[in-house]
Amino acid sequence: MARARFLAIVFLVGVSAAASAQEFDIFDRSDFLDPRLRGVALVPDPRGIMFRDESPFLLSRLSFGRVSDYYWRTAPTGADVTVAHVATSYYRGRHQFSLKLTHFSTNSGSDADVALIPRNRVTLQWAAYHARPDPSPPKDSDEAPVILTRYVFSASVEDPQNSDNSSVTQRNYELGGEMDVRVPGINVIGTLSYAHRHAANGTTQRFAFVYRTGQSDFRRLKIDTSIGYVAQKGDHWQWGNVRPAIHFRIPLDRASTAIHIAYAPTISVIGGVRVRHEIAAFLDRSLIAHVFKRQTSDSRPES
Amino acid sequence: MKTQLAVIVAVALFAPVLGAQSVCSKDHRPDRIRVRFIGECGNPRDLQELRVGGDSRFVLLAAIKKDEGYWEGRGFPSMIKSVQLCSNVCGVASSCVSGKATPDRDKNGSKICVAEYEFRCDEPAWTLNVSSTPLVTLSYTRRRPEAESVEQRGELKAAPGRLCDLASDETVSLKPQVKPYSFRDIVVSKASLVMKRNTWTLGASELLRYVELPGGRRPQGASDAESAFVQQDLKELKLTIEPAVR
Repeated sequence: MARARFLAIVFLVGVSAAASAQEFDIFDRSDFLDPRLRGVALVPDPRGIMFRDESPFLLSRLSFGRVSDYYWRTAPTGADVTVAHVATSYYRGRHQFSLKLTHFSTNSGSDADVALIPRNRVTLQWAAYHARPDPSPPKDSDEAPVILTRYVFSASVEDPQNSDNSSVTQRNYELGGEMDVRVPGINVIGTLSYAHRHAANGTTQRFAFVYRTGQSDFRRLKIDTSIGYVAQKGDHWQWGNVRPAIHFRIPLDRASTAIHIAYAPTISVIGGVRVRHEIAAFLDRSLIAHVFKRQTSDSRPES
Repeated sequence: MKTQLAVIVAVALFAPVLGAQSVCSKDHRPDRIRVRFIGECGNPRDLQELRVGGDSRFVLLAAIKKDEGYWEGRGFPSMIKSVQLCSNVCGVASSCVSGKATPDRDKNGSKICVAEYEFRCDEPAWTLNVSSTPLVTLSYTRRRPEAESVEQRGELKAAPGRLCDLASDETVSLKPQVKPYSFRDIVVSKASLVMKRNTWTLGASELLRYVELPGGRRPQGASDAESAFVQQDLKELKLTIEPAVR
């Protein structure tokens, strides 16, 4: 049963043929927005749980900061970078459409390190939220609980640091997808992602799994922790890295801004245990946050 | 003979009590209320408006100061079920009390039932200041740990507002009235505010923890996008403890 479920997951991810943006970009914060928060009603239906939209929402956020020993795709680069990242998402019903623009400028690192990192990246994403009844609801629950997950499909285009803008052939492309999956047997929901990358130096694939282990507060300080694993296939599959991360955030809600400090060591075990340290400090600010409408009459459910 | 004598004595002894019970029976609403303020209550106004019952839907009763040192007003309207009376005087800790029905006579010598209430100002009280950005309505529920205490409910329309007569052990549960989602109780007590240096500021990120969604929250923590969405309705809720106003 577990094997069948695992194969089903792999199949679903495979056919999604999409690539997330960088799963481990330390400055790219989660843009998951529970549709119920926007007033989207989850309506039980013989075909599953339907979504009724109420308040479409547009959110644009700017992140700007510095990353030391920047982790790019599957490994630390050794380079320090300054990052400007604008993520704009439109949420409607069960759908989310995102456009992410990222600019990197390298501050230090060898030529080989710097060459790994793109100069600019554009990512387009489409995400769909999915709800289903919780098969093992808490005993004290007085209503039918649901499990809400999200599928993300994305496409990215990158300009390498050394590229000439007129040379389109030097651009790198990624397609991929990610989905929230429940680990069979335990109540753990993590994000499994797959990416297919086409670059000047060849084609690669990678799988990653990120499990958000928790969120806690200490006065105004918010602390998120996660642990991730990534493996890559170039000519052949390579064992990847384990990457725990701790993310500190001080929200300045009145200014729609947050200060972020993050630390993510990368632990490699092949050829002896080695640890690399990625540290990031950046500001995150909402540029646009707009709720479009508040419908009062019932709208037709989206299938 | 002895038995007859015992009956006569018993009747003679209990007759006033039985009479009083008929005047102040369960079916008979008190004809008057008498209110005393015990302790350092400052100088309560000669005309007091007292709330009947602890619910948000209440009736006001007027009571006028008498030379005898108490405030007197007409009895409860017949449609009122509650016998709880709540003071509007700040400084009376947890101001709803139960009355004690006592038989008495009016000026004409007719038997009447008087409900007597005592509001005590000798218990320390504190004030909760509630403000929000933007202004929203908050419903509140006040509770004391004692089983016989009255639970009071009400609304603070478009905070800032204040609850000024809280007992030391009293807790206040606040619920911002925001659509389309709802909040679960944000519980605050004097002890919890003192721990936070008298002020508890809840930003959108923290308020998000109190959001209730149909079907329960997802197991993952709140995201920055969710925090940004909640900010559209409520950026901040500020709860501040003040010294009691007498």
